[in-house]
This record gives sequence, structure tokens and C-alpha cells, in this order.
Amino acid sequence: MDITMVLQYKYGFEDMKWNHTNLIETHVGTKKVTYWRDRKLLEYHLNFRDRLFSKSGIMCNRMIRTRDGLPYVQIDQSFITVHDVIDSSSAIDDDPQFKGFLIASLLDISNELPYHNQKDRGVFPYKESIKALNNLKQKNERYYSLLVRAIPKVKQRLTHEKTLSPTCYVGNELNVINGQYYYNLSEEPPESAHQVIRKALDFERVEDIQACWASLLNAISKGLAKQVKGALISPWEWKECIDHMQCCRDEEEIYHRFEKEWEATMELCEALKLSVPARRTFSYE
Amino acid sequence: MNNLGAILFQYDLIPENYERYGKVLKVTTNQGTFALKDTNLTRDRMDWMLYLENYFKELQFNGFVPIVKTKYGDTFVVVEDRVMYLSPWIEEGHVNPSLKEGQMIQSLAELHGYSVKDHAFSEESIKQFYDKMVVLRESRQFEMEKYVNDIEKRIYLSPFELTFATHFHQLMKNCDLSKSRLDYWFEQTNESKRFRTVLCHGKCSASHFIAGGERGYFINFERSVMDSPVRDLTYLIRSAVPPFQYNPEVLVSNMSRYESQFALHEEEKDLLASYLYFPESLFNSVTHFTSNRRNWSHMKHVRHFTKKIEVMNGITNTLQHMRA
Repeated sequence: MDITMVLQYKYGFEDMKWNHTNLIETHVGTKKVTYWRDRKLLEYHLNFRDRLFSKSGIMCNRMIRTRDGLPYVQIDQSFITVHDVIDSSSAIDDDPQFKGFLIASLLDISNELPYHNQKDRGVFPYKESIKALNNLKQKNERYYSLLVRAIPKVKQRLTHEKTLSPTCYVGNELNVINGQYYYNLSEEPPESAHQVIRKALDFERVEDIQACWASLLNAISKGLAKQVKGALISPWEWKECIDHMQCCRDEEEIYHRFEKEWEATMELCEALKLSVPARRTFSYE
Repeated sequence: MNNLGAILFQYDLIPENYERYGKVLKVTTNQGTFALKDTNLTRDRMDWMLYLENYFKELQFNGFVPIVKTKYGDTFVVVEDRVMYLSPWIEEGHVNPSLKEGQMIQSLAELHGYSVKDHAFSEESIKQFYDKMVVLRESRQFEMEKYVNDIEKRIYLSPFELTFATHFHQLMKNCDLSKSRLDYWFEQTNESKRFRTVLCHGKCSASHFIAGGERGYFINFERSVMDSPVRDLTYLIRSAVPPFQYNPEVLVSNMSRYESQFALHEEEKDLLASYLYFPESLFNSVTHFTSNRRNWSHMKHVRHFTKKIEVMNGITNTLQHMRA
């Protein structure tokens, strides 16, 4: 039985036509077919999306059930799921309040639903970063010294550090359907929560960041608010700068980017009234 | 309805037209006509409804209208604090009311017969139930006695108060009859040492039943519960007796139609009589009158109460006739 027959039979689609490599036209509109190889990842996404809808009411690309009520179809060693296709002309990119609510919902759900292959809990690799920094001493002493000078501030920022489960976020994939927001999640494994938060707050306008942040803090579970603040304050840009300098030749540009991000984060902490304590709690290694 | 499109999106349906019938929306879509019910079901009741769907399938009971699941496999759609569910719309057309009543009685007996469950007899639980009923009824009677004592102190009584005071003696007589039948039930149950429950619809009336061609379908199982069949029969009889044009033969024939499919035990008949004698709905009318939460006019309260008196008289006469 070929895949078209399988879909027609399992989902009860009529007048089915392949529109594109993974898009099908059916009697109930255009649908997207997704192929999965990793069953655990598929089940993670299935639970994640169902919970996102049932807990926060956010519509997303959930798995459409077969006629037997199953969320996917197995063909040999792989799996097929079917999803709605939302017209991209309805995309929304200027609702920071909703974005904050969305991020809070995503973080809440990932906290309840740990990913099976969850190595990255967002713990800041301070010791590893210091070792990598020592390697720079030989390579470029000037940038080494500049980055060493940032260590006291790095430690201050790290006093807020808390771990958070990785979550699913693919940037601004918001659409509106029938007057309701619809969020398109990717099929990728979840990514680090600190990256998600930084990506979500990557706005040009400070007012948008503040509105998004206020909405995020308002919607997040009480127990997670500290972790979220910690993830924002942790000095990931410092670590990224050290990592990039290991192999890259254009150190000036990397350092310049780091400085810019560092300043932006400090300004953000100031604007969001997140205090970075002055006392030192880490010993220098 | 503002969010109808968003709700029907969950079912891959495109609305074309809709009409409101109370809490139900008749929605015509690109794929047929459906009934969208707006409820305030709690999480527990949602779970219960979900359980019932499977229970009916297990029993192979077809006398209900199934709930249509969303394309994501959800049974309910939650919109803010409201809970919606969708069912196929079954057009009743023009049906003879007595034919519909007959179909409903038969379907109810069928439902009770399919779901009947005999329980291990427990003297303690029967005693607890009996005591609870006695206490509840006595406290209700006491409230009414207090009310009538209060109004009788007045020189001029309002029409509602006058109607109530006029019929008070009769109501108390019914309470006594109810108590004596409850005592019979208690004695007989202890002798027969049996007790059974069925799935009760909870709001069994013509408005929650759709007569089809050869058979009918129950809708709205939101108040359903496992209880004695007497619970449904009491509700059904009270809602089916038309005031001022009451015919005792209809009630007798309906009962025999029900019993031809699901025979009541002797003690259950006593319990049914006890429920039917007790003028709970009339006492409720007094509570409605004193609180007047529905903002009814005084005369509406009087008319409502008078109709209920007529229904109670009709039922009482039939019960006495059947007893004789």
C-alpha cells in the first residue's frame, strides 16, 4: 500500500492530491505531512503540543488523529503525522504581550515534560569556560586580558543562575486563524531555555522587550520565575565569545559583538530592574 | 456567536448558518448539520461524559446521540470558562407527542435494563439512606410549617401566600403518605435484601429526547448518575403530566410499558410512590417565590404554583387508584 492510500484509509481523506513534497490537498483543506524517525521525539512533540493547547489554550500544529483516534501512523521504522497548514499571510510579529505569554507557556510545559535526551539543563559551564579562556592567553593576550577583566561581573551575574528544562521554540511563527493565535512548532528537539529566552527578547525596541518580559513573568508559574530571571542574566555572551575566539581569526569582530551584547544585557537588566548583586560568591580559578 | 469559526476549526468544519435553541446551537456546515452544546461542565463531569461514551459502546446501547471528537481527538472544546461539545443534529420532524412519549419510555427502560447493576446488600447503607431521606424531608417540612405560621399571622395575605396556605393541609397529607411509603420501602428492602442501580439520565423529559423513525435518542447526559431507576421515573412522570388536562390512564399505560421491558421490584414501587407523593417541587416554588431570583411577577408565581398543585393532585389520584 503506498503512502497516499495509507493516508486516505487511515485519516478518511477524500479527493486527496499531493500538492508539494509534504503538502496534501484533501476534502477538509490543505494538510502537512511530517515524517519522523525518532519515536521518542515524536511522542515528546505530541505531548508537548497537546499540553500547550489544553493548559494555555494556544492553538498549535497538533497531530490530527486518524479515524481510529491515533496521533500517528507507523510505516516500517518511521512514523507519519498530519497537521494543519495555516496561511502565512496571517503572520503576526508585533504582539510582545502574547509572545511573553507564549514563552511562559512553553517554559511551563517543558518543566512538566522533560525530554528523554535531556543533557542540556542550561547549567552555565563556568569551569569549562575558564579553561577555554586560558587557551586564549597564548593566542591573543589582549583579548584574553579583556575577557579576564569581565570575570568579576560574570560571577556576579552567575549568582542568579538556575537551571531550566529545554523547550520548543522556533522564533516568531505566530499566525492568526479565526481571530485566535496559532503557533507553528518545529519538529526539532527542544533547545536550551536560556537560548529561547534570549531569542524571544531579541527586539529592537526596549518597550517591546519590557512588555514581553512583564507578560512572561506574569504568566509563568510562581516557582519558575526565578529560573527565568537567572537564565536571562547568566553571561552566555561571554562564554560564546570565548568559544568563538578558539578557532576564529577575526577576534576583533567577535569581541566587538560580545561587547555590544554584554552592554545590551546589562542595560536590559537595568531596564527590567533585575539586580545583579555586587558581592562575590565565586572564588577565582 | 463570535468564536464559532475558531471552535469549528477544531473539527475541520466551515459554518454556513446557525440557529440558537437555548444552550444548543444548530450549526449547518460544509459537512452536514451539527448541534453545538454550550455547558459549564466541571472536569469531573467531563471525565464522566467521556466514560459514558465508552460505556454505551461497551453495552452496545444505541439510544443516545454520540459526541463528535475534534480532529485532535478531544471530546470537549474549552472556551474561557465554557465547555462545548458537538453532536450530529438529528431532525425530529413532526412527531405525535404520545408516540414520542411511548418511544421515550421504551428507550428509558432499555437504558435501565442495559445498565442495571445488582449491589451486595448492606443494611447499614440502606439505613443511612433512609435516615438521610427522613431528615431531609422533615427539615423541608419544618421550613414550610414555619413559612405558613409566619404568613398566617398577617391580616392580609398575598395571592401566592393565600394559595399556599389553602393547600398547606393537603401538602402535609402528601408528606405523611410519602413517609409511610418510604417506611414500606425500608421494611421491604430489609426483607428482600436486594438493591440495584441503573444509569439514570438525570433529566429525563421530552426536551432531552429525540424521536427518530423506529427508535429515539437521548441527548444531554450531563446530569446522569448511577442511582435507583426511581430517580428517572420520578422526573419523567412529573415532567410528563400536563396540568389541567391530566389523564390517569396515560400514566398507568406508560408505567406498564416501562415495566414490560424493565420490571420494578415491589420495594422500588414503594420508593417511587414515596418520591412522587412528596411535594418537593411545590416547596421549591415557595423558595423561588421568597427569593425571586428569576424576577417573576407575583401572578406568574401563583400560576406556576397552581399548575404544580394540579400535577401533584393528578399523580396522587393515580397512585391511590393504583394502590386500590
